[in-house]
Amino acid sequence: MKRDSLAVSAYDGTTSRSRPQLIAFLLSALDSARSGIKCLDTHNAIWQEEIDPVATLADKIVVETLLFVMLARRIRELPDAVHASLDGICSACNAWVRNPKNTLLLTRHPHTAVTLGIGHVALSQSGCIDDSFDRLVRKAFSSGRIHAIERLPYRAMEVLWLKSQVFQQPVAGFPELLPASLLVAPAHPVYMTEADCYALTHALMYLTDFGRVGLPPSVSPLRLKRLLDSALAWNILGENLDLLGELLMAHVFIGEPSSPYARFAWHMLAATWTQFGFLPCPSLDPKQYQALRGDEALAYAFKHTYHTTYVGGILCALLLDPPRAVTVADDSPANLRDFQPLADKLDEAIAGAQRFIETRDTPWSAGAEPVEEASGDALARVILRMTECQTLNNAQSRQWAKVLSDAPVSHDELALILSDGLLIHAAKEYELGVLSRVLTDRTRGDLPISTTFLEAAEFLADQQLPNGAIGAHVMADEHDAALLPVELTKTTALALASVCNFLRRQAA
Amino acid sequence: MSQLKHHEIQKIIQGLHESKVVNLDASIRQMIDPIAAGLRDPGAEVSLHVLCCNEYALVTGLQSGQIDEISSVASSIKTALNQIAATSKS
Repeated sequence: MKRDSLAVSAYDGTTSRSRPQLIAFLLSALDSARSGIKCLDTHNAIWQEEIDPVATLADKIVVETLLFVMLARRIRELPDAVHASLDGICSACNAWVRNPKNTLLLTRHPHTAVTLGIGHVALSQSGCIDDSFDRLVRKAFSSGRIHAIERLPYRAMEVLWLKSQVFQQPVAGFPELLPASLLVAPAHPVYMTEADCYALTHALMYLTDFGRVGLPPSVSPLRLKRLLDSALAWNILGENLDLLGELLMAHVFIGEPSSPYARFAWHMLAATWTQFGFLPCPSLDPKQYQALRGDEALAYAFKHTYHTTYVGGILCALLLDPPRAVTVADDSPANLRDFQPLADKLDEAIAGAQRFIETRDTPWSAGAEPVEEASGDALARVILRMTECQTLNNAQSRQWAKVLSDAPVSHDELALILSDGLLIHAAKEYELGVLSRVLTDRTRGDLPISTTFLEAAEFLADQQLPNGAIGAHVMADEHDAALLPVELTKTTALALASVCNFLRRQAA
Repeated sequence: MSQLKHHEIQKIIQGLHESKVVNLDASIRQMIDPIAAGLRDPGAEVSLHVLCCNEYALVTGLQSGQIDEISSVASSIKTALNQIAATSKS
């Protein structure tokens, strides 16, 4: 399959629109980078913000800008005008990286070679050579002192990746880091934080050299794809465009960009970028911005748009020239997991719930409750449940109405994406009533079983207390009336019964 | 306190709409029905307020999503970014 058609079929069925759109976005992001770097002195004086003891926000922006340049240069057959733009950015960044302050840092604290090294390598790969600085970076590796501090697994992978770039050869050591990494952990967004999502995307960046190297055998591409899709569903509902962009990059790294979750996430990103002319960072606060004037407002605008705009730009660069061929994994529900153990677990939870209820109320059975008929189609039901969620208000958003109305996915695919997102959101916000209702809706409709559906059901069962009540938060108030835990336990147990019966029907 | 006239109420409500305190484009049924259904969760806190008086009902307490909020300042931010670009070229 030709590379052009890869980008087209993954994100847009219309040949004439996809590639020009990607190029336009990429150039817009590069323009933002170029102008931001030129004004960095002025803005830095306003921010006066340290990221860590050795780096300011401006230093961080320079490193990220140069990483963007490095990855943009990987696009084959890049027009000369774009190369010239990249050269201009490198020239403007050079003094921010190679200067007496950073030379002192590298000498005193060799571990800083990671942060400073990324910028240095990007400059070197662009033809901007500095042998003296290069010797210092290489020395940090050869002395071993670059490892002289404690690092998270994905940061340790970053060190290995940088080493491969500095010394221009493959580097050993990645397999030893995997056991501690989220890449092989039983992770799911129900249990993850935003920081964990970033750990996931960054681990994949360094492990695969931004898609150029395949996954090691111990990392399952299918399992990763499902995890990434779940994380996309979560962040689609959460409107975190920064993470959506990084998760989409991760899909490209593993050669799997074509899921409905990815297609909708791209649509959301592209629609927002087209409408706004930039991509907002999650940190952008409209009220804060409106209180600022002059240079302070300009500095704020750049600070709270640059990262997500860069992420968008890098994503476009990857889509324009995907580093690896797209593979279509067999993602049928039958391959998800054996449903029997989960159904047995749910049965036990239901039995425990029944015992608890009967100690507080009249005899009760999940099977004795009348079954409410599902009304409306799957998408309508999901949107109704979104309005029931007290910590989520997308259903009332005009922006959402616009994004949903011309989504490039089918009706059922959209229902699946939003339903998965809502299951994750309800579990994380502990809205067990909404969680129960969405799970029940899924058992009465035709949406496919997803990893998120199974994880959400297991999460709900795991909220059972030793006395059989379901809902750990009821322990917070010992003086609460018995009614609260009884009613909630009935609601959740009914949902678990629906799921249990549904799973047994699938397994049969 | 004298009774407000209709046009005074309209002016107040329009101001609240423009400040995103209320959403005049959503019907009261759209706001109330799902929330009432959600209260099948015992102990759930009410997150919206309904004020009723003769001929009017005012519902507040719901907030828009992040991207929706940003859309109110998007063109201003784009102008700022354009200004940065222009400054960088000079």
